[in-house]
Amino acid sequence: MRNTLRKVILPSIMLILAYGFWVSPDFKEISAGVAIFLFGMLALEEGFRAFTGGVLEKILKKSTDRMWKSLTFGFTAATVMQSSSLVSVITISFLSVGLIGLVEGLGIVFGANVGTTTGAWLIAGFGLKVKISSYAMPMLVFGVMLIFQKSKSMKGVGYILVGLGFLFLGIHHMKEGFEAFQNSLDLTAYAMEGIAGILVFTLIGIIATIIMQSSHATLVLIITALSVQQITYDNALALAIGANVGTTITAVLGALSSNVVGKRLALADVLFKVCAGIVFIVFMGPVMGLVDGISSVIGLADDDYTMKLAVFHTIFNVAGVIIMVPLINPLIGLVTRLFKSEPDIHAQPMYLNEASLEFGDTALEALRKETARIYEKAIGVIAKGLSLDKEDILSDAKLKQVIRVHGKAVEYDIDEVYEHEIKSLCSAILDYTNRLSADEATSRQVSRIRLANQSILITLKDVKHLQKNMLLYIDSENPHISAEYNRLRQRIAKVIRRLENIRSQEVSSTSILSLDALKLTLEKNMGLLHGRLDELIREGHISADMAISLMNDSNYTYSIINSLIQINHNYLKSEEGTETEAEHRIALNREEINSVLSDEREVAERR
Amino acid sequence: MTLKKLLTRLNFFDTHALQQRESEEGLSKVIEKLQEKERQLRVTISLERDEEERELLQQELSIVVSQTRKGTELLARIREEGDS
Repeated sequence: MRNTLRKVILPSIMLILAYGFWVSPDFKEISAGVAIFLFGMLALEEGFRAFTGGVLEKILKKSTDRMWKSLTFGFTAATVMQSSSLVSVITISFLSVGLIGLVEGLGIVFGANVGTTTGAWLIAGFGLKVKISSYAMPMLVFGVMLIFQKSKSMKGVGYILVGLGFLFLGIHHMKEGFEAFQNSLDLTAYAMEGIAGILVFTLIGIIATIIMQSSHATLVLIITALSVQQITYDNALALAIGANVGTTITAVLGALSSNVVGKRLALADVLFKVCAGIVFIVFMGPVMGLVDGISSVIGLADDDYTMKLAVFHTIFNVAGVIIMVPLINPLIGLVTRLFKSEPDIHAQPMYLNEASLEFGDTALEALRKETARIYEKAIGVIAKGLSLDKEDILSDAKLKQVIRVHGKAVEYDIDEVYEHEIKSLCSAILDYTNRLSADEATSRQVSRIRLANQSILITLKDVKHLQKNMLLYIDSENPHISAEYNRLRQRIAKVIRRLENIRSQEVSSTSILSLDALKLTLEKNMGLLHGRLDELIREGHISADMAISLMNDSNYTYSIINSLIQINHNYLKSEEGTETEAEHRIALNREEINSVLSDEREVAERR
Repeated sequence: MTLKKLLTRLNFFDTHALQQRESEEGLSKVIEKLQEKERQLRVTISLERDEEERELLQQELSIVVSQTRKGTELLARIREEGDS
C-alpha cells in the first residue's frame, strides 16, 4: 500500500510542478533556486565528510568545546559572512556528518544571531550591504577544479566550495523569482496602530523575509520605508521581529536534505527565534524604553529611527541568546523528542556475514570485531551520558581537567541511541551465535563474547539510571554533592581510559591480569565513598534526598565499572591460548582482591 | 637431558600429559612476564612524582605480587601432580 502510494505521489508532484513551470516563469525560477540550494547542501556535506576525523574536526572541537567558544565562533562567522542563515546551514552540514554535536551547533547558531546584528549597523550607519551571491561563480569554478584532484582533502575543499557556490546561487534564484512579489509589497497599505499593528507587521516581516531569503534585505526595506515615513517606528520594530523569525526558512530548507540531527538544529533555531519574538512582542513597551535609553547613552538623536532600529535588532538577538542559553538542555530534550531518529546505517553489523559463518575461526574473529565495534560505540554513549566527550576521556589530558571543562550537565537520550544503534547490533550478534555450529572450545569462546555483549547492555542501562541525578547534581550549587557526582564521573572515565590502555597493549602483556588492579581500585574507592558519605550526612553538608541519591548512584557506578571490567575480561578471554588460560587461572577472585586491599590498609595504618 | 625429561617429551600422545605440560608452560611464561612487570612497576614508582598516580601504581604492584605468588603456587601444585 505504502509503496503504491509512493509510486503515485512522486509522478503527481512532478506533473504539478511541470504545470507550474509552464504557467509561471517566476515559480520555475523559485523552484530551481530551491533545487540548486538543496544540491549545494549535499555537496557541502560531502565536502565536510572528507574532513571527519581530521584537522577540521579537531579545529571545530577545540573552537566549540565550551558554550562561549561556540557563541564566539558563530558570532565571528556571521559577522564575516553577513548572514546568520548561511552559518546555520553550514552548521547543519557539520552536524549531519558528526563533526560537532547539537549543543555546539546551537551555540554556533545563537552566536550567529548576534553576529548578524552587525549587518543592521552597517546598513543603518553606512548603507552598506555585503552581496554574497557575487562569490557564487568563482566558487563553482574553483570548486570543480579541486574536485578533479586526487587528494582527498583537495576534493573535500572542492565540494565545500561547490556547495557554497550552489547555496549562494540557489538563494540568488529564489530572490530573483520572488522579486515580482517584492515590487508589489506596499507597506503603507497595512499601517495600523497598537497590538494589531505589531502582530500584522510581524507577520509581514516573516513573509517578506521568506520571500526575499534574507533578513538583511528586509532590514533595508524597513529602513527605507521608515526613512520616508511609509511606516511608523512601532511597525518597523515589529517588522524587524518578523524578519528575525522569517530568516529561519533558510535553515529549514537546508535541513530538508539533512539527517535527523540537522532537522533538530533547524527546529531548535525556529523555536529560539519564535520564543524570542513572542517575548519581545509581549514586552514591546519596556523594550522600546530600553532602546531609547541606550540610544541616548550612545548619543543618537531622538528621531534617528534607523539607528534605533539597529539598537533594537542588537538587543533583540543578544537578549534572545541570554534567555535561551540556560534553556539549551530542555530545548535539546524537546527537539530530540520531536524528531526521533530512524535506525541508522551504522547500526548494521559490519563483520557478521554468511561467508564468515562457514568457518569457526573466521566466525569467532568476526564476532570479536563486531563486539569491539559495539564496545567502541557504547563507550561514546557512556561518555555522552556522563556529559563528557569520548575523545577527551581517551586523551592525555588530566581527568580532573577534563571533568572541569565538561562541568555543565548536557542532556543526552541514551534510550534512543540504545534503541537505534546498539540493540540491533547486539541482536545481530545473538542471531549469528545461534546459527553458528561450533566445537566445544569455540562454543566456550562464543559464550564469552555473548557475555561481553550482555555486560555492554547492562552498563548502558546503569548509565541511564545514573544520568538522571547526575544531570541534576554535577553543576549543583551545593559544592559537596557536585564534588561527589563529579568524582563518580571521574572514576568511570578513569576506568575507561585504563581499559583502553590495557586493550591497546600486546596480547602477550598479561592483559587479563591487568584488570585485577582495576578491580582493587573499584573496591577501595567504594569503601572510601561510604566513609565520605557518612561524614557528609553527619556534618549536614548534603540533604537526606541527596544522600539517598548518592548511595544509589554509587552502586550504579560500582556496577558500571564492574561491567566494563567484565566486558573486557570476557572479550580478552575469548582469544584462547595456553597463556590466556594460565592468566585466567592466576587472575584473583573477589576474596583475594579484598585480602590485598586489607593488607594495603594495614600497611597504610602502620605508616 | 635427564631420563625423566626425555620420558616426558616421548609421552607425546598422552593427551592428559600434553595438557598438563601446556598448562605448565603457559603458567611459567605468565609468571615470567609478571616478574618483569613487577620490576618495571618498581622503577616507574620510584620515578613517579604525582602522589595519586604513585598510589595507583603501588596498588597495581600489590596485585602483581599477589598474582605472581598465586601463579607460583599453582605451578608448584601442577608439578607435584605430575611427579606423583
